[in-house]
Amino acid sequence: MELVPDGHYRWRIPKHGGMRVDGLIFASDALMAKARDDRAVDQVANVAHLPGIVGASIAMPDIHWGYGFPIGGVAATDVQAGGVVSPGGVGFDIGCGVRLLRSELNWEEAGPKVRELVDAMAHRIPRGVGGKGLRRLSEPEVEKVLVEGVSWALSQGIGWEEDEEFTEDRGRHEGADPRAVSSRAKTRGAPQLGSLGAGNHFLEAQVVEEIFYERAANAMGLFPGQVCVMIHTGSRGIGHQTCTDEVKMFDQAMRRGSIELPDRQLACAPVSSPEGERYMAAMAGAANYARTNRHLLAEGVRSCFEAVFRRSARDLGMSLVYDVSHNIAKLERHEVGGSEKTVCVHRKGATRSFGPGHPDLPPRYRDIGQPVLIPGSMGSSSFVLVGTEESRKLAFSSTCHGAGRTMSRKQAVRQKSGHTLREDLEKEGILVRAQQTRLLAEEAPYAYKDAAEVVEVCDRVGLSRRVARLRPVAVVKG
Amino acid sequence: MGTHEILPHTADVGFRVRAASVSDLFETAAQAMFSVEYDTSTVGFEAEVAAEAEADDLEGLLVAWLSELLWIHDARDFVVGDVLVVEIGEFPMRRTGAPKLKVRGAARGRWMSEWFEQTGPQVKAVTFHGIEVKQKRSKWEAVVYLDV
Repeated sequence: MELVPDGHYRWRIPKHGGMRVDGLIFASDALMAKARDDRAVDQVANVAHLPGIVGASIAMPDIHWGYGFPIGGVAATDVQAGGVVSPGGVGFDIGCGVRLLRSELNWEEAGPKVRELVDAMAHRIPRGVGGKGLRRLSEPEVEKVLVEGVSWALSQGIGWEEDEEFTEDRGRHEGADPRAVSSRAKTRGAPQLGSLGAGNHFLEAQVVEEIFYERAANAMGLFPGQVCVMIHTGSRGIGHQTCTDEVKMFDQAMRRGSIELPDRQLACAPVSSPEGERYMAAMAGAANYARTNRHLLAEGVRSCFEAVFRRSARDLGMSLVYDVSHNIAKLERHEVGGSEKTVCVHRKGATRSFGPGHPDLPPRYRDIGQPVLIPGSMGSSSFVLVGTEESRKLAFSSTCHGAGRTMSRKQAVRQKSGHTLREDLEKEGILVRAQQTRLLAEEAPYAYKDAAEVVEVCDRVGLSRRVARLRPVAVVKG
Repeated sequence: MGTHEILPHTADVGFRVRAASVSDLFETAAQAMFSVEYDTSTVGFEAEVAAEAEADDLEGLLVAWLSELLWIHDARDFVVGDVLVVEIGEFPMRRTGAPKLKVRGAARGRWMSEWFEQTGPQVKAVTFHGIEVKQKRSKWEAVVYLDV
């Protein structure tokens, strides 16, 4: 696969074979070397085969091998020109994303209670395999969550009214249709709302350690030494089932048609076809479930803080900074070939990165841009960024999503036992509560790229801008 | 029962299975999938749940079969120890008469009453990425990647 350096931190895969556009990878030399090690680069080229794709098949610096799309992949298709949507370009965990809660607490006052806090969260937050969530839904309620998202939770008295404003799409991805979601998927969704799941999903108490962009940090209410909580999870079983159902239907439709793709997991259909429309409606539903899931978990966290610090969450200032997805497809207006078009932007392990002035932003952030939340790997720093205007031209307003893996789970587990890892992290001042300690090493920091490096490349290229670095002090995992 | 080996993948899990017949292949692939998550040999046989799947081609059938079994495990809380294929082949569709591939069988194991011990990551879904089902001389071989 030919890879041509294309300027600072940019690499191009010139169009060849069935590719309709070039591939474009944003990475440092070091990150590019890692990307070449696994099949991620091939996947960037494969995505370039999608009908209606415009601009380039893009990949972020946290790129790694996925199943179909690379993780860190961004692809936009021109809807009017028959551009496609590909469920594999969103992934099984539809709407997986990150939520950040701030607080008025600083580490000096909270530190002595961190053990009590992590134990309270570990006890309260449902997590792991077969996890039943904080709230069991009836089938009509599942449908309401699919359509209304966070506003359903608010109607039940769960959360704060203003949480809606600081959630992407105001907590409700429009166009969801519960009829597009299979009854199997709904059955899976009913018991799981308000659960963390397993794998690389987590909930973390963090301390703001470094501020890079003061004006943005002020707008978000972030200050040095502040205690925050980051939640990383998605739509759980309802998302996995929806994607499984949809990929199967898309695969069958494709076998009857004439589109040929190098990877069957890229199965796609025009956005404006019956399959495409059905998928967009199902995906929107699962995305609403995901953000409602994080919303309920955030309420659970607030109640833990209340119990440990004996003050109300309001008094503790635990407001929502932002909630944003990194596995989603969005219909957005972007400039393509000199004119504005509606494109379907797939972000698979990539985060939307709207710059200052964007009308979709809450008024408080309109001057600074959209917050971007980057979870670090376990035990490593996480980052808060803001979106930029340049990202619009460079990558359809997208940036990275995290650290990206560098090593298989099997290799990671061979290097260290879960118990040793947990002890090592505790020595560094990071308390970990995992349901399956044996498997903890799968998520070890050495199995991941350094998020700091990824975030720095995004900053230098102009995809997003660093605002703050947060270090973990207490981790709760499935 | 055939054999299986895990294939390297950065974020997910892949495996290759080899067996003497296509039924055996489908049974072995199912066992391989569950053994990613837990030790299937410790499960025992207390109950049986029927399973079936259909597709237009053999690769699609394997993905559909494994997805169906995963549904039985995840959504119905059934711990699968062993999988049996009763029949697999081409059947005409009732309505159209067009042929479709079908597999019918059962999952054996026990209902999940409490937490069970995981030895590996949770299997979230079965992907079409790199899917292969082929016959090499008299043996059958398949490659499957799972989202974990």
